[in-house]
Amino acid sequence: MGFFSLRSVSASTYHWGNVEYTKRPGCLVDQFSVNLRVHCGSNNDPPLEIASHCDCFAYLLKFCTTSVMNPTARIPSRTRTLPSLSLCASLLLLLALARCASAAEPYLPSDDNEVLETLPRSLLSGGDELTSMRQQLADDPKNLDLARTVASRYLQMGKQDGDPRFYGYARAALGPWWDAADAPADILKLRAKLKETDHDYDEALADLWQFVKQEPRDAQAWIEISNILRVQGKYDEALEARNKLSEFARSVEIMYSNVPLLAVTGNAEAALDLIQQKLPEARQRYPGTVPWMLTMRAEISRALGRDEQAEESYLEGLGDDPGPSYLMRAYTDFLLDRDRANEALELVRDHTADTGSLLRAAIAAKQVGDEKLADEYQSQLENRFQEIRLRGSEPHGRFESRYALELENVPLLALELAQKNWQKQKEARDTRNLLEAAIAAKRPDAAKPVIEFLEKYGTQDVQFDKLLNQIEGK
Amino acid sequence: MLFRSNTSTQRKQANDPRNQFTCLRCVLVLTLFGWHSCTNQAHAHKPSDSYLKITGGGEQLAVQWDIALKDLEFLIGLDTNHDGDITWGELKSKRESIADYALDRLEMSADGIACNLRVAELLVTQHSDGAYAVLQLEADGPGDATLIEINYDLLFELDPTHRGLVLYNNGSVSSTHVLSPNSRMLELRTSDTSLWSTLRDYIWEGIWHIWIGFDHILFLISLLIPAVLVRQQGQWEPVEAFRPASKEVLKIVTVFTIAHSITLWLAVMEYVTLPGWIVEATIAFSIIVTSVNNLWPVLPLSGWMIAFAFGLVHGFGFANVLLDLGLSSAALAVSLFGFNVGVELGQLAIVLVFLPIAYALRGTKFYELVILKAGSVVIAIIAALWMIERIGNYAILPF
Repeated sequence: MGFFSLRSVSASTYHWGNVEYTKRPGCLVDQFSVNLRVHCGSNNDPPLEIASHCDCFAYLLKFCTTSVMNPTARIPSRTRTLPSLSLCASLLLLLALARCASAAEPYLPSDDNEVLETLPRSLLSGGDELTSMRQQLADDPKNLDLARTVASRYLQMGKQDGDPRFYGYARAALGPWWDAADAPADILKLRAKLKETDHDYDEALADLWQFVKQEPRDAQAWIEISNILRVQGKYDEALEARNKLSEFARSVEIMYSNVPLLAVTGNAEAALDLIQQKLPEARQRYPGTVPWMLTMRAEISRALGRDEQAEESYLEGLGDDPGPSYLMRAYTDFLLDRDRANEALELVRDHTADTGSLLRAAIAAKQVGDEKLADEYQSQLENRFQEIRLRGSEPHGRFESRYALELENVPLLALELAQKNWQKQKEARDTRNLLEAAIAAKRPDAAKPVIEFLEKYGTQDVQFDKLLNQIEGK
Repeated sequence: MLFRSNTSTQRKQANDPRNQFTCLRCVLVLTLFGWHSCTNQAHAHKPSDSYLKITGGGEQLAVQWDIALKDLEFLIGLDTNHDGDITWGELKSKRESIADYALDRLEMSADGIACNLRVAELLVTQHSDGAYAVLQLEADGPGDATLIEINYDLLFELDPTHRGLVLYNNGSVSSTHVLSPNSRMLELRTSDTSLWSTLRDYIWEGIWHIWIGFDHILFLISLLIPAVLVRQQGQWEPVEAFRPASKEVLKIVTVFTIAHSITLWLAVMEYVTLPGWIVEATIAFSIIVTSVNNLWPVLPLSGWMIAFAFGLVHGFGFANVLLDLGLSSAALAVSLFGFNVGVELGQLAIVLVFLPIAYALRGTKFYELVILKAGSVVIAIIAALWMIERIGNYAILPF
């Protein structure tokens, strides 16, 4: 057992409690137990107890991975010189959050028939054909048609199975053009999608802008542009893209861009009307679009406070045998907000391979009072986050901030994470996470940019109204 | 706000000849939305990783390599009966191909000697994204190797997002490293070098602390200002030669160093602890005293004596910084030494800049009036404000 102190990040602003360092068997990396106290403001103010003796993982601190792992732990001078002390705060708070990834001990299966892994169905159908195409491509990596086919097939498989490995294979197929500034149009479009799956919105947009210069009447690209801009909260630009699309596209295509934009820019009623108007036709002619329309109808109805209509749409959209989807997660939140955690848990408990569903399952189990199950889900989540961090990436801020707030109960960290995430994307859940964290952390000032944003676009959402009232102390 | 496209519907539609055109468009749009839903969906799992755990400290290096079954299926093909399930029986039967394929893509050397890697056992484990094959490797490298070189080339050609995660542990030192297509080689230095990097880091911290510590700079400068002058009949006169001036400076700096090293050590070892604000306020007070003494040399002490007396106080200040950086007993001596060396280097830099200028200007009215007199007044005022801040816990100055 080693011992070191991380007592103060800056002489007068943040002081840290002691950090105790232990090694435990069965952990991937050394484990730390932390007792953190943060003094904000003057030295005389009582410390704010952040977390006491929670176990954590060193490698969480991406910036100081190696130095923290060594007993000679220290915060790198770079972070101390940054004006943002909150960065330091979040770094160390991250430390407080992590727990030991219980990487299971290797074992020797006793039964030859023990199923270790189930492969995605998409691999079975057409997997061989794809493999042979991939091999052809390996011999002729600059074959544009082949590369495009292989990449889009893998992209589709990634989308179906939610396994990012397939995106990696798609990226490999685009290898010769991955960094090329003058990639052919078709490649640009695929590359944009891959970057988007990686939440690399700006890069994805850059590729799409370049693409529409060459193919100005490609509806798909314009829909994509307006959607990425909307996710980023750049509604004015998104509306411009929608207008461009409206000049030539069919009404069903325009709808894809228009409905979600209207919903967040003060025209939720109009968005709802548009769906109602298109739905009968869609049921007849494009049944594939119906789930999306139901999702939109459910979410917009919920935002307008029409719970009955919302629930009807959620249930219809889910159908008889739902898989994990945006709709399922949204409906789970709907149930959780209405003290129906039992139903929420039933809905997601078979889909915990999906991280968003796992998060909700943990929250639901906690609300139901099943602590054992909640703990189990929570440690699975921690495990996933840690393994993502270990490879040098970051877990999705939307999940991570909610995890910090609702499961770990560390509002300051949740706020930091939510703010960081909100810089990147500003969809309803992202906004809500920030507002809730600001309330829990007693930092109404942090909600100011969000309030301004919502006011600017007249976003309608009864959930936000409730939170804003709380912030304004009404 | 999107959904995952319903692929069975897509297929049904695509098979319906009546609706070919509309269907194509729908599929296009649906595909698009399916893709876009990823922005909302976030990763259900993580991209491909393999875990290379190297354990030192024993007689021989122990290596455990966890490779995802999904990756092995992609690389070698494990699902021999094509039923979509990978069973232990199927995995076991591929042991030789897995070993050949994987070991072809991993080279390791310990202290410059190539290790002979051999799969001793095939086991199974779970990571957050599914089942992994565990290759327990026998490596004939010594457990106390100080330099382990790894050359890793699994999957990179096929999946540029793949990462090889190296987790090293020898009981006292552990570290993690990420191997990627852009860095496939790793030179893993075990314990010895970490002392070097600790030393280097702390030297840098020492220099940095002097650089950002205005109070230490001002104290040093107010000590150095009169070093190029001599007091004769109540008047300051310029020194005649560079040698005595530099000797005086050397004496001041050395004495200051000795003094603060003593208290730095006492405080870091926790033999003596003083409340932070007292130390900080006394440092400010020390600057007031020296600068006032430059105006009216009332103290019956010469420069080096002042440097020693107040050096003791500054040592406590340095100690607080060093404690804040975090210390462990393992590397205590090294970090203490390194930090001290850094502080000296920082001081030396100030002296090297200040002394030639002061020497050149020593005989001028400018030096006497502006630098010595006005300079000392300004320094005294700043230090006084610091002192008020530090006692009363206010913020007056922006630095």
